[in-house]
Amino acid sequence: MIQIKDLTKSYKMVSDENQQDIRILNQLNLTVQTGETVAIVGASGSGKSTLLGLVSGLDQPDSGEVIINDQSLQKLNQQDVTGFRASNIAIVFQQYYLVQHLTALENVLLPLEILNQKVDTNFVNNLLDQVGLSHRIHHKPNQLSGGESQRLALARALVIKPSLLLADEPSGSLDVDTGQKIMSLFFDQVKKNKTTTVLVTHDPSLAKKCDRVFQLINGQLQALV
Amino acid sequence: MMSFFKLIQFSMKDIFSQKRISTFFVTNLILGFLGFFLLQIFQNSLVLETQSKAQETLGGDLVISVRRELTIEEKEKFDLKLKEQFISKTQYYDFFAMTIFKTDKLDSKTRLVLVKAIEESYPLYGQFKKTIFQDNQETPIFVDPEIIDQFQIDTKKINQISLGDQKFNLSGVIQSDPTRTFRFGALAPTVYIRYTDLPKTNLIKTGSTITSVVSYKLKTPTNANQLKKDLEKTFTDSSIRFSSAFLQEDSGNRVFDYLLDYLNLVSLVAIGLSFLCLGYMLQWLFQLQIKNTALYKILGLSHWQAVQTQIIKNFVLSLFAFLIATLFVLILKTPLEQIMYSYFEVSAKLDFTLKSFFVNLVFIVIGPQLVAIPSYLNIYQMDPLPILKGQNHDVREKFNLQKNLVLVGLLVVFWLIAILQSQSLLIGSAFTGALSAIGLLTVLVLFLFKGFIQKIADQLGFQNKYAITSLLRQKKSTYLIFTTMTLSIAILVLLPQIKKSILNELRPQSASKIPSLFMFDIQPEQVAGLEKIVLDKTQQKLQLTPLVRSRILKMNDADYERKAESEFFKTREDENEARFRNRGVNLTYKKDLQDSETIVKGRWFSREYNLSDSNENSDIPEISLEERYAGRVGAKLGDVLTFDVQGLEIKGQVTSIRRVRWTSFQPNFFVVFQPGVLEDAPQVFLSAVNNLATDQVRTLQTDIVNSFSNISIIDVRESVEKSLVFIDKMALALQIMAGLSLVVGFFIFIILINTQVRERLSEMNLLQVLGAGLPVVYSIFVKQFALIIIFSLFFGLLFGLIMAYFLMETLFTLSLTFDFTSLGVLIILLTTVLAGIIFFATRPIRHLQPLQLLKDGA
Repeated sequence: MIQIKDLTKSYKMVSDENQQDIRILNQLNLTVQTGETVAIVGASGSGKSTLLGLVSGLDQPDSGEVIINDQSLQKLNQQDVTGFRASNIAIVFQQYYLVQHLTALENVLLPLEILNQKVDTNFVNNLLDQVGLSHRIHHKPNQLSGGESQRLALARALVIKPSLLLADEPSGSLDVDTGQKIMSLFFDQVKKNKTTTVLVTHDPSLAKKCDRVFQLINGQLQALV
Repeated sequence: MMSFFKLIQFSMKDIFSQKRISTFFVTNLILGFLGFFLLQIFQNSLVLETQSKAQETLGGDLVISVRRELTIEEKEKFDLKLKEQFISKTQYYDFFAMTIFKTDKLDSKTRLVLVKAIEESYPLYGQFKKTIFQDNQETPIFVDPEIIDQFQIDTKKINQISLGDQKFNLSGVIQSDPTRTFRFGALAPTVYIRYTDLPKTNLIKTGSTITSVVSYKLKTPTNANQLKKDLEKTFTDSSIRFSSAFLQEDSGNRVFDYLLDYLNLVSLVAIGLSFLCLGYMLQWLFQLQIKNTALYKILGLSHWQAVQTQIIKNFVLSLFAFLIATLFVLILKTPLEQIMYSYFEVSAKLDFTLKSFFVNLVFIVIGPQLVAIPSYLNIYQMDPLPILKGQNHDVREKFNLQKNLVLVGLLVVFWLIAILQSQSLLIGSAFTGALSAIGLLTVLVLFLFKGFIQKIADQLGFQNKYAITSLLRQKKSTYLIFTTMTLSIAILVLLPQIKKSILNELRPQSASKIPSLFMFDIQPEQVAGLEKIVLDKTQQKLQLTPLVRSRILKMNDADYERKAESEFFKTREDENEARFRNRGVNLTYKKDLQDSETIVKGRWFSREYNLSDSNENSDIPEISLEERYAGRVGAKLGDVLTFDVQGLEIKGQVTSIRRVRWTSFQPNFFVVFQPGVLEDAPQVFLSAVNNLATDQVRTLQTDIVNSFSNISIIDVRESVEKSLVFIDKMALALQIMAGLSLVVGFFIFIILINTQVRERLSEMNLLQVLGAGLPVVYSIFVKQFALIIIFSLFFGLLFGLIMAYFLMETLFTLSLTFDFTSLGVLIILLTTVLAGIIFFATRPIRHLQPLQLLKDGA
């Protein structure tokens, strides 16, 4: 379960004449149950990515708290947050962010290597099979199409069996057809693995596939469904 | 279609929006080219100085010289050959002799001087600058200013200076002689006497070391080259040297030539490193801008226009770098001129001519465009759509025959530049060859051991495995960094080794091994008398070394012809060879090797030659050749050389090649015959006297000159002290130049590491997102750079020492003297500075912002 309590985040905006605080998130609250999928929609600049950054522990709030599986990220130091993220949180980015010099298989295994975990070959092969990349495991990212790259990024996210999957516009860089295929695969996987998921998207039709949908407006979440 | 003007505007916007990259680019160019630029101007100035003053320094349009007395017949033949071609002529002799100056206190002072016996018409070009003390003297003598100081002459009085049997009246001081360009390191000051007064001195005897010169002023000076060739065809005696004021020749000064060679090497280093760094930066630039370029293409920019934009950017930045470099040169010009004059007594003006301006402009502006061709090809061939979709991001890794051919082409261009710049086929090729060899070796090592290294890496923990895998997989950047760093380190290692070897060659051995006096031109009939004087004064037995004048007639029974000189392009090696071939050679004979000699090939003479025992055809006398001389005349072990000794042909078979340490001040020779061959040939003797106190040197010198006025004596200690002062100055100059390349090298390391870190920031952010802690990410990248540095240091040291050995053996033809102190200091310095550079360049990693990945996608 994820609990977000009174989360507030501001950024300093420096213009030619003065400096002012822009509050992006304003005492935001959200609870996501284990295995639940939640979509967050909102205009550009509304703070969606900022929220993901805070939930993933990549950023620190001005105030408030993020609790994942009863562990408050704010009570951990930087090193422990990184360790916690490595074993509990996975992120799928709009831009895939694959390591270019590693093969598809090595990219998938990378989080396990970082965790120094023993590789369950069957699980990894099965995962790659499920995302349709078992025939491309020795290819480098620059030899893969956009769709294949995103599927690879999804496999990399799922390989650690995360407690929380954060997805930032995962189909944003893909054409409509490929995007739909990817998202279908995405939902299949998260449902099958009962992965708690927070999906940030502009696409209302995609958001509707989630259990709940929120709109981020004026620094707060408003439930749409 | 976008107009060209719009393209320029577009490119300028790009330059200003990427200030950091533009600054890097420009700084690299400025640093790299500044050294090259200064050297180019320095060389051009020397060439101009030499060309404009060629007639003055040579003493005429066409000059004939020989290291002996020219016969009247020969002189008549020259005149006949050149009749109707010349307006005037002058002739002079120069030779070393002892001069005696008697002071009021009755004790006389002696000194070795270079005597120039000149005609009224001398010099044909330019004028003497002289100060006259006493006019209308019967037997006048003019001297260099330093003689006045050394002898503490009161110029208001009437002073007499003796040369041989004649007393001369000191008439004045020659402040400057147009025929003398470089005065530093001269063995002795010059005195000028009248040509007609020379016989009165009675100094010229058989076998005396004398140079006879006949100089012509031509009606059409530019005909000098053609006339020189005609004369060379007519006069087959290779000891006669014909010089034209319109052909470039080297300075003739060994020290100065070493300095120039070293300067050339340093400038090649600067330019080579600069080009490497430039190539790397352009690749990096291309990678950074790939998405922008793809976007521009999507928005309607044609393939060619996309390339044009880059060409314009490169052009503008190079031009900017050129202007700043020019500004620096203009600022540095005057202080450099002063340093050159005060340190080396080179009064060459660093003329910033229009020619040097344009040569450098073309070079600096065209160079980056050539280096950028692979990047231009990348841009031209780039398919924008997949790049914007995030595919085929790293186009650099793709093999492309066209691009590789371009790289080969660039290498050839660089090779040609290197040869032109160094004026040496050998040094240019060695430098380019080393560059290519290091590059190829890297490729080969990575190719051959990739699998093996990867297997080892797989057994290691995540950090080490990731660090090594990254290096192995990112081949191109690893090659580039490794090659650049290895080469930089190799060069940095090479320079002090060469410096030490040059200085070691120039710097005399320990004082105890240096003789006190060195005597030459001792006639056979003077030997007994001289031996007695030396024995009386020093209790030493005189060691005499015979000198027999000759010239090479044949090699392996084939005529040893005068080497034809190419007018188009002459490398330093061509010049050296031509000069060596076209001059006479002094022979000696002896039983034993001296301390200053070592046999490098073959064996030393085992016995004395016995004519009566031998069959003339099968038993040719043995000879030993000095290593450099053998190389330049093209002789090897077993070759038979035929010498003309006063009209008699004498053969000698090469049985050994010797290395000679010329600064030992021992009587050293290029060609040594085994004893039993030359004993009856006309000869003079050389000798050295050791371990004398200062007083003994003076009294012995005076006694010898009083008895045998023709014998020339060098006070070796005085000469050594004089040369040491110059050598120390030169050492400082070499140090400064090596320092310049060190700065360029460090700058390149900074750029390489900085670009690598920046290029891979997103990868490092990703690792953090995936759960690798900051210390782990930091450690991975530091390990990568540390690995490259360790391997670069190892291979750089290895290559540097190999290159130093190769260059010393072939270009400088000197023995390599390892400078372990410099090497140690360099390793410590490099490690410290590189660690510092890594520390500072990897600062962005310590402030990673993995959140940026989310923001970039937002």
